[in-house]
Amino acid sequence: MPTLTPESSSAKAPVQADAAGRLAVPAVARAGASLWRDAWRRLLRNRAAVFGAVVIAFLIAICLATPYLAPYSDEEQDFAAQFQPPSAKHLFGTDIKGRDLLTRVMYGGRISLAVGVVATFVSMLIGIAWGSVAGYVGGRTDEVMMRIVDILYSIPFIFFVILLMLYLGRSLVNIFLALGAVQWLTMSRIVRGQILSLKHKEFVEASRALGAGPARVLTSHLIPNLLGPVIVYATLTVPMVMLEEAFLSFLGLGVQAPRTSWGSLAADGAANINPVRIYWWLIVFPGMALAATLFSLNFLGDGLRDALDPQLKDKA
Amino acid sequence: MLTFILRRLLWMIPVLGIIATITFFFVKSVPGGPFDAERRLPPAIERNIRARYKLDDPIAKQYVRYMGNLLRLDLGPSFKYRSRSVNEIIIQAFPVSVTLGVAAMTIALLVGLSAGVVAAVRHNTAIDYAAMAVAMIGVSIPNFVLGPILLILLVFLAGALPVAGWGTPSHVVLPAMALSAPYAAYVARLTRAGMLEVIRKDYIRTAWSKGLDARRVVLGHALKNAILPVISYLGPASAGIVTGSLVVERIFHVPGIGTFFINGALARDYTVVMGTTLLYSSLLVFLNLVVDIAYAYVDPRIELG
Repeated sequence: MPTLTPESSSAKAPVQADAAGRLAVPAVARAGASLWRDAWRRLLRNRAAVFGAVVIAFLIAICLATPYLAPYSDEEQDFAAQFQPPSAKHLFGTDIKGRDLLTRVMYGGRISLAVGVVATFVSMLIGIAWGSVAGYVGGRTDEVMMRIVDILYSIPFIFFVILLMLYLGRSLVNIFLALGAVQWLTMSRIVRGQILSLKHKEFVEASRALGAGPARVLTSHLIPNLLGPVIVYATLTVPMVMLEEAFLSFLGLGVQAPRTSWGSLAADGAANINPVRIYWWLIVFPGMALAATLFSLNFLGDGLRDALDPQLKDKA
Repeated sequence: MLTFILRRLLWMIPVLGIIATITFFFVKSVPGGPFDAERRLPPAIERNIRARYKLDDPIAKQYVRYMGNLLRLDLGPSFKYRSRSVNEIIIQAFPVSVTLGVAAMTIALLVGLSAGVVAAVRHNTAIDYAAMAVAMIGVSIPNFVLGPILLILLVFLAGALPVAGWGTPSHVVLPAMALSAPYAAYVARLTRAGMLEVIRKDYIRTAWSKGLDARRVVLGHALKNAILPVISYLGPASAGIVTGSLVVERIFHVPGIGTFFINGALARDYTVVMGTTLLYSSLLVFLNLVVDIAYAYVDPRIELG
């Protein structure tokens, strides 16, 4: 298929050469380049968002390097050192089995962040597919598909996630699927709205006039152009999903031992607290790790929203 | 208005029907029955129990019977608490959860609205910054972290409140605080933003220039319009309080619906799980309707359609 922009062969020759054979894609990417650069500048001006991004980058770096950084090994138990308060030897103290809490929090963060990212990705895939088909096909199909979304909206999903976990078994993959499977509704609405506003634009008409089928128009023209709001909403979905994972793990329905997450660490902490043994570090440190992450992700998400798609502010 | 309410009430019926259906087939397809939890029962006894709960009927027949009973508001017998029906459990536990939820919502609104108004009136002062900093922290601390921390601070260290359980008004305070904190914080932020937007409007200047006192201007004129975002947030907030109570009831050993739902789910007590899920769903669908009506009532520009 020929490319759609007139200056495609002259101005940005290197881009063209890189993506030879997929001519429509560089056209879209280049049209978006100034939008992305603009958004980037706006984002950098937002101090709260930059702060959030730095914290998140720091946490991700720590989580990736955990096997090298962690002061102890994940499963190292020392029953002689049960419930030690924070000290130079154990910065965050130790738990019921004498495991180093700092190490546990680091390993737990890997799981918590992984759940946040992967479940959000699952919800993005479902939401984009559902919303773009509904918006693009339109008519009766759209009506039926969005009515289904309306009905699903009024169902309290946390109950079904709990049932889903019981049904599927409490494995990590199932947490990804169960949380992703209930988070796509808003995403599909956003995507549908974007598709509706894009599908009669000239560049889409042009592509259709040149003989592109619906699948082609969707994948190479519409979806790349609605990524902005999708990225924004996805960034705001990650903390929601992480909170839900923590919630499930807290109830004992999420991440299972020997694996751990911030939610299950908090649950262990809560279970071991009583008036005689005030082991505050067991709840405070995992709780702080989780709160700091949610806090930063929300800042970053709000900043991205203002930078990429100011109109979304009223919708979400 | 009336037709709107009627239409929405009618819309609840298919929604709840779908929820009941999904829950039914979901719970039925969960592997493992309610009776193989403890030691293996002698086959004869197990046969008798299965017969008593009519578990050997074809699934379609069970479904029709369940839906029929549902229409008569009969949720069936509990599997785990053998001598009690789900209705009895709900009648006993529901008031507990409602008390907790209403207390939490009241705290969230009282604290959130007053903090928001004060922060807006004292815009850009230390009070404003302090209130918003606390609100920011409140929004990001999950209630299952806040709960145990409050427990340590207020109960173990200060000794001000009873540890856990239910029965006296002082038992409500701690769980309600843990449950309401994120919502109080968010309401405070919404109120402050709404007030700041409204407070510079012409009609507020008019109110001041009429010589009204500050209380009338702020609470009577400004707050009335600034409160709209708070009201539309009540829907998600009540949903959050309802689901949050699952965890908070567990932390503080409150014998509410959430406790029965979680224990039911863990013990594969089909009927309790289905009954409590349906109760929660109807509650949420109903609360959303109430919020929509309240919204239209406060803002006459909204048309109910």
